[in-house]
Amino acid sequence: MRPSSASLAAIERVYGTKASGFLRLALATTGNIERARDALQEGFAGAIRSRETFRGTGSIEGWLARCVLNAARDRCSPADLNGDARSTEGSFEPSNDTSRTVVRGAIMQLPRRQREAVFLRYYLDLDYRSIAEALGIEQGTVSATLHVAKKALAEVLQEVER
Amino acid sequence: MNRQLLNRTLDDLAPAQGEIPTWEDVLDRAGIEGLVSTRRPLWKRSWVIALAVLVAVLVPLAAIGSQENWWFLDNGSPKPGMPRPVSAILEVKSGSWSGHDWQLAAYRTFVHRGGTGPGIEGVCYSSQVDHGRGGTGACTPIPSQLPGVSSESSAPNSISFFGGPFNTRRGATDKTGYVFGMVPGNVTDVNIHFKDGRATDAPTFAAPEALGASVRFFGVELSEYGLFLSISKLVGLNGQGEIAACTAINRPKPSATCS
Repeated sequence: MRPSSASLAAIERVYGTKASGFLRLALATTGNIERARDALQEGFAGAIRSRETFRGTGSIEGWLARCVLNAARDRCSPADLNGDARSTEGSFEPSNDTSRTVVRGAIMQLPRRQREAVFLRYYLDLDYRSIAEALGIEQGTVSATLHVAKKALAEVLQEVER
Repeated sequence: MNRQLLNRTLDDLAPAQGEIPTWEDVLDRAGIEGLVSTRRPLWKRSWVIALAVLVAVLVPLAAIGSQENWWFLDNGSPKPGMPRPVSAILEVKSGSWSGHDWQLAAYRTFVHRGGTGPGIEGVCYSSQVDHGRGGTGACTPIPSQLPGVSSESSAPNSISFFGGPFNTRRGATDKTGYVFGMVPGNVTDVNIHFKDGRATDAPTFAAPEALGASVRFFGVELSEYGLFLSISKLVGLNGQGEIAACTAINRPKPSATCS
């Protein structure tokens, strides 16, 4: 069956309005701008190629976020997840702010689902339904996942503020 | 929870980027055939409309010094990923290739990193072709004049560039296109290499003094816009013929190096 042009248009609309946020999601996941751009393109390209599989029952933004996340995860190495092997392009110089270094470490040490839920919420401003679509979990689980992540980060932030 | 600290950390972790792959890059990656003839005309894509509007209002905006109506402002705030202009918008050069008029404009930017970071000095530059019927652009940090070159596109003396077709109408037989780019101020010529082994030379031209950045620009007409997609490497030479800047295109797979 030939995919409808509306699906392609819908994907393009999301790209046109939120590409920057998706790139940030990929960058936070891969830790490298080149791999992030690659993941962004491959995530959307993969979505275009498989757009017939999107049934329209969930959020298209969440589905696209899942595609980009999958592409970004494929481009990760364990070292990248430490956030140290970053490109110096743009504003990517490592922060010399100790507090932020500690908080960044705390973010990267969150379990993957919690970390990605934080990223999806912050960089793409997705609602719980879309985050659920992106992470392949129940909507009700999103709230709990974010709650646990925020609680863990709050403890670190309190330590930093002392 | 100190939400500001958390937000700043997340901003540090993945700052907004000025240079985002185009929708055409995505379509190419997806293997959509007949890109130029089947995709939506350039002027119908919102960001290109915005760029066209930007360039169309260059003169009045520069004249009155107002930034209120710029396309990259959304209710007074920059759209995500778009650097804030800190200078007037300046015409770099204009010309005509194969009957197509073009203009190249540029303006300075400054990207705050949040917190105590020094921020990023940059330049946005964009083309307008055929009096606003098309155009595209790029925003990058100001390149540096450093010894040695790297194949990394993130290197300080890398070459940024963009391209586009002159004729964006559906089914157009005119396939000509263009490439524009920006190099460190000591680069006098740019050799553009294509994957099939061909190369073309693009002499650089000066940036307006008011831009306040030691950069130069280059531009070249492409007999076929498709050539833009097959650029493998751009090599910038200084007045002594030495390599002073370089960018190797290694996506989707490695194909060139600057060494």
